Amino acid sequence: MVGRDQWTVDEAADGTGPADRLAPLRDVNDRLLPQVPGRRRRRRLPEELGVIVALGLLVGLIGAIKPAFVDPDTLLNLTASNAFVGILSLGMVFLLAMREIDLSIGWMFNFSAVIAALAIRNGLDPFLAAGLGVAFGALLGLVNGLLAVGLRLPVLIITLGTLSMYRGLSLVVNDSRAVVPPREVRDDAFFELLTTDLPGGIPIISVVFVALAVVLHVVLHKTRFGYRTLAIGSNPEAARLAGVPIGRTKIQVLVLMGAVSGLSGVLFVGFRGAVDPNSGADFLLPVIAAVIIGGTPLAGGAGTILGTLIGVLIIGVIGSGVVFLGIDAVWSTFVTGLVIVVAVGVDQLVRQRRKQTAARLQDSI
Amino acid sequence: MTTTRRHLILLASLAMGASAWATVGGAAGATTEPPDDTAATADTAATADTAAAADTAAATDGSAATDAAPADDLTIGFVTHVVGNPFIQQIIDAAEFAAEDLGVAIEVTGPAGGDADAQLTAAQNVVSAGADGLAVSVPGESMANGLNDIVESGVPVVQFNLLSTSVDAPYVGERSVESGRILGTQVLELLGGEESTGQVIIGNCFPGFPVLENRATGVQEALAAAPGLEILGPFDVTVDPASNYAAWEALLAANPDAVALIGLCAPDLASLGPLQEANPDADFVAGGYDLTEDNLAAIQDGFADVAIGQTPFMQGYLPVYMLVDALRNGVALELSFVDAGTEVVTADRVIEPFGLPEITFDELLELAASPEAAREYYQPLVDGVIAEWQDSVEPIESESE
Repeated sequence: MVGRDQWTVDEAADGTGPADRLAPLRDVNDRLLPQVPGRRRRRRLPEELGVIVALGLLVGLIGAIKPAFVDPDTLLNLTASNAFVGILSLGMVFLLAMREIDLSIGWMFNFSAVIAALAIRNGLDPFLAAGLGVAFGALLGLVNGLLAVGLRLPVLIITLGTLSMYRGLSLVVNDSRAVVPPREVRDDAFFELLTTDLPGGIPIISVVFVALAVVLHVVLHKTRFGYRTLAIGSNPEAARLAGVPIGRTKIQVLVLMGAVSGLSGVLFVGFRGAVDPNSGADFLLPVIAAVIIGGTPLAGGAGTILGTLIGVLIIGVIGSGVVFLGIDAVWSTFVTGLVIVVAVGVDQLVRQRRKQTAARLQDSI
Repeated sequence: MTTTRRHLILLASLAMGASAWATVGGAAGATTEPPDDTAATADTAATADTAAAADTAAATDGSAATDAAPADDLTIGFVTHVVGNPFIQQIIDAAEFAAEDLGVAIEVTGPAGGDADAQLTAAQNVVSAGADGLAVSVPGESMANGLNDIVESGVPVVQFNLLSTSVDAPYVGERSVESGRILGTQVLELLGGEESTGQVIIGNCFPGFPVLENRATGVQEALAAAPGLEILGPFDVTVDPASNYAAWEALLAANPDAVALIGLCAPDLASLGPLQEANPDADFVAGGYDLTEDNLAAIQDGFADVAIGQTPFMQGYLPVYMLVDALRNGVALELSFVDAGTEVVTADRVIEPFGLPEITFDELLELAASPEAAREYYQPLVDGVIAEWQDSVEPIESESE
């Protein structure tokens, strides 16, 4: 194990040698109390190293066969194309970290985009309409949260219903037709901004995606809200006994998910110039896949925004790679599904291994 | 443990890469390369062997797209809005025949679930991977900007089956409102004409798709000739076969006295046939779209009554032909309409467009089951309407008249 090797290397540096009998116990302490004041912190490789390497290998493999794939424009376009799913995935990390899944994200995305596009079509300034779309998404998330907390039901169950509600209402509002802002409005700064590339051909939409990832990483790992979210996912009962307001935190997470869905929706309107009646309908599977592949466990209590960002890119690379390699689209679906199954299986194996190791160490102590 | 986890995730990713790699090495590749003889011709032409090139041109019937020797290495991207659908597969089969006939490679792809954004990404990837021309069905307006970017980059684009008038590219498909009128008229005849009464249920598998909305408009216009008919819907009957059947079953249960059930998509007749069989007390006229094996079997068994075909062979073959014509001969492609024709099928008769030879119902079944048989039957189209496609170009408004 690399962790054990690192410990041994550190011991060697301290002059205690690899045969230190207390090494296993220190290893346990290191795992359980990594932030003990006064203790010299080890250099740790990022948790996401595996998926980063995997992404590099995938890109390298496909690029070696089809050099056009590693053309900078192709790779930058790939990030832009996957930004909408990616932004939703960033929000879903908070849900999974809390042991919950929101099934309604695709239709919150759609409904918010429809509201924003209709507002633009009816003469509202596009930037204000974008704000309206984000706020509307947050409102939909609030509905999910109030229902889940008020009825004491898992978010999964509640959103199983609200996804149909949001879909149905969206179809009513858009009259089952695409909502296309007028051509003259599409020359507005809002649309110009979102379709313009920065120097180097970097799409603005990709920058927004990465910037949001940075912000949400800080929120998850450096704020009280983030700690509470992780605490609830780690052990809800312990969190409750520790005074964490579970219901309020759950509502806040769902409002965040709704707002993020709304943001993704309004960016879609700005980038694509229209929203179709079924836009976003198929986003749920790749979103969950990206989060799980990125390393956020289904068991909750942990979450990685960077891993999710990499997971989104892996999903995107798989999707683009099968086209570049001339693989049938049906196989693309299969490969995506295979990755999810393998990732979930690996997650389960790791947790079992963790339990076994903990039990062994406890026995030895 | 986190270390182990990193290793395992890495292994999983490698397994994934290996899976993709294995697929590349397998027979499932969607890129169909030009036939060897064409490649040989290209080589020959590259060395100025014009006689051999001329032979090849003659062998491919001398039509416009093949007047010039195929001394190139063209790849056509063919991106559908869904894969794994029997009707779409008929279109894909025809496109692959066209590629083979014209000596070009074709790369077929599309999303499994019909998502427009995923389809646009697939189209962009196909072009980035080097496709010289793009044929694409367009199920959503949100694809228009991205597709127009491709057009502006100099890659010729042709739309088929599903249309966005915002995309600056020609469209090959049915006259959607008119085909709805034809279906409505056929159902009305079976009900007894303008004096008929009762409830008629219309189902739409994809509310919001303009072509389907136009079909619904046409059906309703035709049925309006009988004031005694009460039209219910269109209802969302979904595209998935299982849920499509469930939706129709619920509609019939809610309206047991309905005299006709009309679907606007390929899965509908395949549901309505078994539904009629399972409910012998409910005697309704079942009408719908597309000449797939399931739909024709329902008509043959007497449980469905009329199916409208939209000549999938034309919708697959002609877009590839037009793109090759544009690439080899510089033919300009602009927003316009080329009618793919409408087929009308009942148990008693088969009406094919463009003066195609008359066929029986059994022969039509064979065409639906065998791409090779369809290829042979539609040869007159290849030699006639398709070769002279520029004579059939109409303003885009004609599509919905």
